[in-house]
Amino acid sequence: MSGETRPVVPTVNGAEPRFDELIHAPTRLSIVALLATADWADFTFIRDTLGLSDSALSKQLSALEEAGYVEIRKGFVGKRPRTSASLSGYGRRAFAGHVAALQRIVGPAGMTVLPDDAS
Amino acid sequence: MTEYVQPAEAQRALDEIRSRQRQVVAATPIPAWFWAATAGLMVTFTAGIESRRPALIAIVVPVFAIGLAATVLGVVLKSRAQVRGYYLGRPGALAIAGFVLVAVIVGLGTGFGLALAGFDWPATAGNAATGLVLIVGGPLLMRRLRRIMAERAARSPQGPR
Repeated sequence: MSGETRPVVPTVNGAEPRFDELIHAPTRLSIVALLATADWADFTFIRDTLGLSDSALSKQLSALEEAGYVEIRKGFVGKRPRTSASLSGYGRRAFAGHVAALQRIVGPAGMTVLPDDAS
Repeated sequence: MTEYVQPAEAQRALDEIRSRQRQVVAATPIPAWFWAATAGLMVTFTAGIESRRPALIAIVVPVFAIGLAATVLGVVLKSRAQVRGYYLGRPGALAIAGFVLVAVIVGLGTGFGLALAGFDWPATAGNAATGLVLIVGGPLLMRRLRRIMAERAARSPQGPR
């Protein structure tokens, strides 16, 4: 009695674990974690929160934008230019997969970080 | 790649994610001055109307409209990040609904109660009571919402699926 077996893709907290090297770099991990919690965040907020220079943040955001993870919006508040960033749907899925991969590596202790199902 | 990442490093990364999430939640409150400004505008407006003096009414109506617009605009323009609504969830919605309900009950109760007692400025007194609820309860509500959002973010670091 040998039925056809299908590969089982384990999920962690509903997301398929997928380690993402682009996100895992320390500065980018911090940026993506900030953006994952927000609909959008101001460039200056990210810069000040992470203690980065303008150029360092621009470089990291550009890398994330090129990968399709981040969307950058430029506008004006009065006469002042204002740049904000948000995580794209693709970026959110990549982040969810990366978190799931981290939780799988950590193992049972990491699994205590369980989401509720209300979403 | 995952085989090269040790559990300790993965744990550090997860801790970093939680820490950044807490920073976003903490950085996006409605400031305390917003509640005081709103309360002040409400009382000024109602007192002007209840004075029944046309000149005073002509002053307080635009003051209220412009003041309220400036207050809301001030909060919106100073906002540097917008937390995802998901993190409020049902507990957050219930906390907000409860706050609104208390403010309405206190305001109407005070106003109608004083009107029945023959007080000359019942609506002003009612709005003053509501304003007090805003000033005292607004920051408490924000503290509660921040706690709710932080807890939900910690439970689900990857956000909604």
